Amino acid sequence: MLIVKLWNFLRGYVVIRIEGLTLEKFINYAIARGIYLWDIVRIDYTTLEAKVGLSGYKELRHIVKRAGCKVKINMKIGYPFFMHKIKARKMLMFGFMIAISLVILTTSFIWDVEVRGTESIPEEKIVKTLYELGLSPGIFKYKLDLASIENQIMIEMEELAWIGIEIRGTKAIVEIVEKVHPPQKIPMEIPCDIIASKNGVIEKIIAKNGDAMVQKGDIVKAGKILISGTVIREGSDPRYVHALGEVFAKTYYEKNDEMSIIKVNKIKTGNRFIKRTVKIGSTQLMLSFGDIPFSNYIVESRKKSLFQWRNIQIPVEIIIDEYYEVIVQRERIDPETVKKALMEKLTVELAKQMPPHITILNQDIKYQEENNIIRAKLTIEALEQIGIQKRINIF
Amino acid sequence: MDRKTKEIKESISELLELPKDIVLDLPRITMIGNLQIYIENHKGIIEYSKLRIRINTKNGILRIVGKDLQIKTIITEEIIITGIINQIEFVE
Repeated sequence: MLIVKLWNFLRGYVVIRIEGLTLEKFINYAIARGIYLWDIVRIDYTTLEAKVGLSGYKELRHIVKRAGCKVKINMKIGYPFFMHKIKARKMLMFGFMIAISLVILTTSFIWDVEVRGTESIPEEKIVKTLYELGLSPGIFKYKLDLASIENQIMIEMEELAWIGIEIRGTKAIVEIVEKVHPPQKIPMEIPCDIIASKNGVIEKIIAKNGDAMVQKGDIVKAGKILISGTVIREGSDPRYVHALGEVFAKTYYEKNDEMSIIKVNKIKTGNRFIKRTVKIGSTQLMLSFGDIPFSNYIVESRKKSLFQWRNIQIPVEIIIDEYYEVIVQRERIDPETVKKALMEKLTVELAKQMPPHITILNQDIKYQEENNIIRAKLTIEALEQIGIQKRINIF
Repeated sequence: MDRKTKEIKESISELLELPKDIVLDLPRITMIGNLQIYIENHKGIIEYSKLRIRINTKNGILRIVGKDLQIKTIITEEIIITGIINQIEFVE
């Protein structure tokens, strides 16, 4: 039926009022002539309202006299009439066209460049390079050759592993992946030192090549030379060698945390208050009024958005906040349980910080109780290799 | 004579299993609940008001009584009437 309606609209039709005493006769004549009438409604005893197509209306003239009725146009509906009106108001049409072309014009430029996925490379550097290659705000987006920009930037910036440029509306989203460099390996013939990668207490030092600079029990800071590649002997010039060796040190890992021994339990009473908000774009419209009638409550938020078709998302959603009234109950937990929980939590967190495959020598935890709060400090002593190679710069 | 031809036609349609509305030129009436009535093969409209519609057919006048009756479509072969239909009857 929608198609029929649309067709009628496109062809144009008129709503007519027929006045007379022999209206049935009028209808019969119209049928006999093949005029299509629809939506015929009786208004009163002498009046009928009907819809008729444009060509049908012209034909009606012949019938009107024979049936002895009067026909008046009540409404003109459809595309031909609309166009006729528009023709009379040229400036309106002109303004409309200007508005549409303005919208199209303004959306065919890039207005924003967003960089995602940066870790060590500063964002400004990428943005700057992009500007130089032609991707900058204010550029005409249909002229951009994204593939060539991607290639160019890959050549210019060696630290990039991958780059993807996507244009979404007036925004260019640049996604990058940085290269992860493998640890530098220094060839055997290049002289180097072995330095400490982290703070620690030296436990064992085996210098296969080069001079050991520290002894067992020495406290070293990150960056200190452990095995020197510069060999100085009396009576001869310093020799530079490729230092080799293993340095084991005790390292310490520390972490603090605290936990309350009073546990707050929230029990729902069953009372509920619902607040609805409509979000259109970034504008929020409150639908429910009134304050939350509870002093203690838990909020549960739900979002309802309109159906999603492919990637087109309509930016209208309803946020339903449900406020549940709760009774707050304070419960004192056994301090030992809290200590145990703290210990477990800290151990897990510290283990994440430590490099894999190292020997744990000792672990020590200290507790401190104060105002119902237990503070804990976990220290782990581990044995690990701390030596890394560093090139010697010879002038 | 007229009656005899009618009888013959009827027996033929029965024999050959032809639809009676075609052979006998009778109206075919379809209703959707009490909301819509669809009449094929009518012979013109006699009376039309919001409460009552009378339609001429081959075997008498079809009277439709109801409320807010509206003629949705009317062409040579068919009429569609909508509204709330209470009664339909053939008046001899």
